[in-house]
Amino acid sequence: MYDSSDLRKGLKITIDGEPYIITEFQFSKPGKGQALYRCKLKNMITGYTMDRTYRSGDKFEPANLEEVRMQYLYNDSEGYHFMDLKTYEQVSISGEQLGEAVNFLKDNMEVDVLFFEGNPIDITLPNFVELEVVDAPPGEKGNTATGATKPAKLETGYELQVPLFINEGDVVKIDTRTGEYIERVKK
Amino acid sequence: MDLLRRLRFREAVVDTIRRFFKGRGFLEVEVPLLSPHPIPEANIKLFAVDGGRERLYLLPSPELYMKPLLAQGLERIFTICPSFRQGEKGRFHLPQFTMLEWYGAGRDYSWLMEMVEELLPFVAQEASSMLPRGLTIDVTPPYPRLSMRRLFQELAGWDPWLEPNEERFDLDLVERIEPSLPDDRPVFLVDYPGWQGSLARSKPNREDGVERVELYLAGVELANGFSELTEKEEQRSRFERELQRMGEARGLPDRFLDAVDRLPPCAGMALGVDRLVMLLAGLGSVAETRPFSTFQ
Repeated sequence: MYDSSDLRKGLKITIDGEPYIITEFQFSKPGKGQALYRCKLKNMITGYTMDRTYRSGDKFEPANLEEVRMQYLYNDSEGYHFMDLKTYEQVSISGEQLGEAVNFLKDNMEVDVLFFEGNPIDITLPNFVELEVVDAPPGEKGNTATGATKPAKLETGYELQVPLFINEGDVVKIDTRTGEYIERVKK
Repeated sequence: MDLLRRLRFREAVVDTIRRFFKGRGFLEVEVPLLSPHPIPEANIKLFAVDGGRERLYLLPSPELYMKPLLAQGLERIFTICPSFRQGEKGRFHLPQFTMLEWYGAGRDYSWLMEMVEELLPFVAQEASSMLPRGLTIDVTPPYPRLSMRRLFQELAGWDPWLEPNEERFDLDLVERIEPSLPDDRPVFLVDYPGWQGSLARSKPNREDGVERVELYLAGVELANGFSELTEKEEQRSRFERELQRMGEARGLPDRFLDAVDRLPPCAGMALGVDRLVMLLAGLGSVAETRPFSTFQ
């Protein structure tokens, strides 16, 4: 169990049976009053955020979370399927739950799957992934100033801005944290 | 700002505060930081120290020793000293911080507000000359004096004068009142319910509460002041009630109570120096105003 004095940004706790992460934290003690612990909390399953104020003496259940290295297999109507490379056990997570991460998932890619009380709720991608360009219409003529970009589509369906010299069939490196183009890996 | 510039800035603010008070005839005093019998305050957790024959406490403010000096006839005094509160840590809190306290005999809390309206512009002028981009706050007086009772009625929808509910009071203060205060100007919150100022004098009409004022600057609580209570028996019974609430076997500060008996009418204010430096410099936390922020 945690108590109020353990609260800090980044701490993960369970509230009403769901895991929350503290995204903002402020210790407060108004006037000559009691200590108050103001938190902004993000639900790690739904992404929903809420404000809560706690007092000295309040107790908190740590969120029972575990990360397992798994391989992405495929997606279908049930969701995105991952396999534990040691036990060959498979789990699936819905696209809604994964959010932006689905833009960067490639078959056989290894990711860390986050489990809350035995149920998969999220994944952590590698910081950089390499994906093939499937569509990159030539940029407008005359628009060749340094830094000029054009839209392109990757094998996962993700669309982004790339430099003008990128063509269909090129493999590009993407930063999964920002979703931005980093460099061309090969033609 | 790098460490040296932050510390130079802090030094200038503290020097300017000293100049302000000395220029107005105040005597700077040094008082003990330890006592076996601190003022009982239920919401302040103290550090206990092994004092050999008895247990001593690091003081959470210099008040315990300042008032006896007034009782001995000193009329205008101030001190800038370390103060200690266990478990208080955050952007605006440190377990050891620096407090400015000043007192004036024959004065009340309106004098405290006038002093603040002179002190802040005086310090800000010096401070702004050290900041390449100037100040982000405006401390031109006068500062609005907001009735605490009206704030609660308007923003929290209840009257703490009729309902002594401390939990609800603190929560609404933090969640409803504080966020509504101006974020670039000073403001006074004036007059508190009777149960919210253990050392403050009652208003002429007792039911109106106590003469207590809180200064907020940029939404941050910066100073607390009272027209001081000067009746010994009233003070004793308030302390006894506080000790009962704390459920702690601690003696009353008898010498302090004797001093209260001999106090002239007076007023005093305590101001957080680290917070003032932080707000003037536009820093994000009190820790950034000090060379060390913890005991490690």
